[in-house]
Amino acid sequence: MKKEKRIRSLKERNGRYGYFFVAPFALGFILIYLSVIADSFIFSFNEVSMGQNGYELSFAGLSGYRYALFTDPDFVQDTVSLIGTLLLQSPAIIIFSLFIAVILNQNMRGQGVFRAIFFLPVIMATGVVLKADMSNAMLESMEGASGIETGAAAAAGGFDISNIQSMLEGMYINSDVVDYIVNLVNNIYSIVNYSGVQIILFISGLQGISPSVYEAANVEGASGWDSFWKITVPMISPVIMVNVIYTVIDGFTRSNNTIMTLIDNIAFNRMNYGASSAMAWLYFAVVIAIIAIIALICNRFVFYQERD
Amino acid sequence: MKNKFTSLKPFRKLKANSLAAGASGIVWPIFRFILLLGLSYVIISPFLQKISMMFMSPSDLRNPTVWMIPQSPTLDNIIRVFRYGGYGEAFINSLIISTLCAVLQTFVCCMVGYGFAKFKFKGSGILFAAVILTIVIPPQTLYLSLYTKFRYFDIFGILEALGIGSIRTVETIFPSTILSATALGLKNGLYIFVMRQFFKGVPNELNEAAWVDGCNPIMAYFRIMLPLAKSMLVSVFLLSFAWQWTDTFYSGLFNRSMTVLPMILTKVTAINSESIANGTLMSSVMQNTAVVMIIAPLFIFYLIFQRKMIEGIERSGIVG
Repeated sequence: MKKEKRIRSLKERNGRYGYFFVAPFALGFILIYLSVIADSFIFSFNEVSMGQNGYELSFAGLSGYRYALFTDPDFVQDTVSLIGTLLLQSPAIIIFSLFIAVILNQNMRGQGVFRAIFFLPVIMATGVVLKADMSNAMLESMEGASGIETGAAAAAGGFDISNIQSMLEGMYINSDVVDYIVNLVNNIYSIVNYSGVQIILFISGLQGISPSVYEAANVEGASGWDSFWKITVPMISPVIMVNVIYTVIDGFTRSNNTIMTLIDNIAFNRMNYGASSAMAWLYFAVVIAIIAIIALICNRFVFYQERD
Repeated sequence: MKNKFTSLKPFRKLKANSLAAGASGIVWPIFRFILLLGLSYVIISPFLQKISMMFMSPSDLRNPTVWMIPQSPTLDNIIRVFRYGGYGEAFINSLIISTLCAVLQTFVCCMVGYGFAKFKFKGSGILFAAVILTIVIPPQTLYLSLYTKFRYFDIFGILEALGIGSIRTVETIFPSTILSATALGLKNGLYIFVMRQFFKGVPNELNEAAWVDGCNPIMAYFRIMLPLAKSMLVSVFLLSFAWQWTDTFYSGLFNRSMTVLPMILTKVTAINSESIANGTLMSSVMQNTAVVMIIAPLFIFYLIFQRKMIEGIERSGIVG
């Protein structure tokens, strides 16, 4: 009783050190970031025009929001369909990247090279490669130049999916499930390319698990399958949670998805910065709501070492 | 009770296990290898195309019988990227900026993540929601306000009030540095989140033992926690470095005068249309060459680092 009390008071006493650790972020957020997003929030109620001294604002009320919700033909519809796509795609990405991470964590020849190759998608996702690929695609369509392919098409095509489809249907598997699987196989290129970060995080999560735990389990007669579900999964469940949330956020904020393109397009091509900000804010509100729900669900299944 | 001890069940299970292990001892590695090879092909194929283009001369490009392997290989494309794109200078600039930002970001994000994981203090929930907010809102949407913020840099109008006026901080490395130091750089929210989750997985007993022994939390963090987090730190550093290396957003926004690697892409396209005939085809070749030359150092860097990572982490084995 006495001991418990002492520990609690120690923890309480040390609570204020928390401020020290989070201070860099807290300061940056309050001093810099808050005013930046506040600006963007103000834009959403204004019409923005570029002047000599930066930008000029004229108050427009809710017209930006009205434009996003009622006038723009694509925004609402595209958001809904994007949510659907991502909710289906994200589990596939998580399972795939966990599977690959487990494999890459096993001892084998060429481990380093394979890991480096699976690191490439992280780089691919950034603007640099996209930019060059865009010019390739343009060239291809313009001149029909041989020897120049975007690669994406080359890797995804050349594989006849209908065989698998008919095979699965022959096995009396629900056609929705078949469609889902076929869709995943067709999108293997994008799934591989969207799992780069997840794989890296999973690998370092896996490396944190002591091999002695597995040894103990093995001695007790646990199979590899048991160890995976009873040791690996709970141990890296905190990392699984990060990856689930990151996958969803990444899907929603990827600069080449329909909504982000739309927002960019309205801001820079139609020079309607106000409406674009309004759209962005509506969109982010939806994304944050979805993430909050996912985080709540995840939190119930995540296993932390902490017991308090 | 007796039955439990004399039963052969555990032995049988053990035997079955070792049998399965024997079979999978041959089948699994082969299957694994084929699978990884196939997926690697999916990842690499776009690069193979680019790499082969890198060595193609104009005659190869126009020759329809040439596929992947150039007939008259040339280093001209690479030399052109060096000469017209300013590859050497850009490489050094990128190296400096990326190292600076990645080191700062890794250090700061780890610290902040630890703060969120192990301390209970007022406002931590709201502050963590703010972290998630910074990941959700991509910096592209804040383009205009970010630029003006650093173009007319001031904190709450303090400098203005002191009569100094706002400071023009764009075209220096100040914006990137300050954003990294306050964990607001590229995807820093993700790193904080990762480190928080990692430290939540570390048993509290370690911390408490140190605290009871009179180590203050800051010392405990540097002496005990930081070494444990090595493998996560390496991952965060690698991600941060790679993203900084290929970043076009912040470099384009804050520091146009300093050439970093992603910028040579536009440079090589620009010079091409003038100095070399048949513009588009060549400019595409130049872009592909430049992309390979931007990414190759990262790939090599990762290969080397990766070796170090496996050697360095002697299975700290804290989690568990």
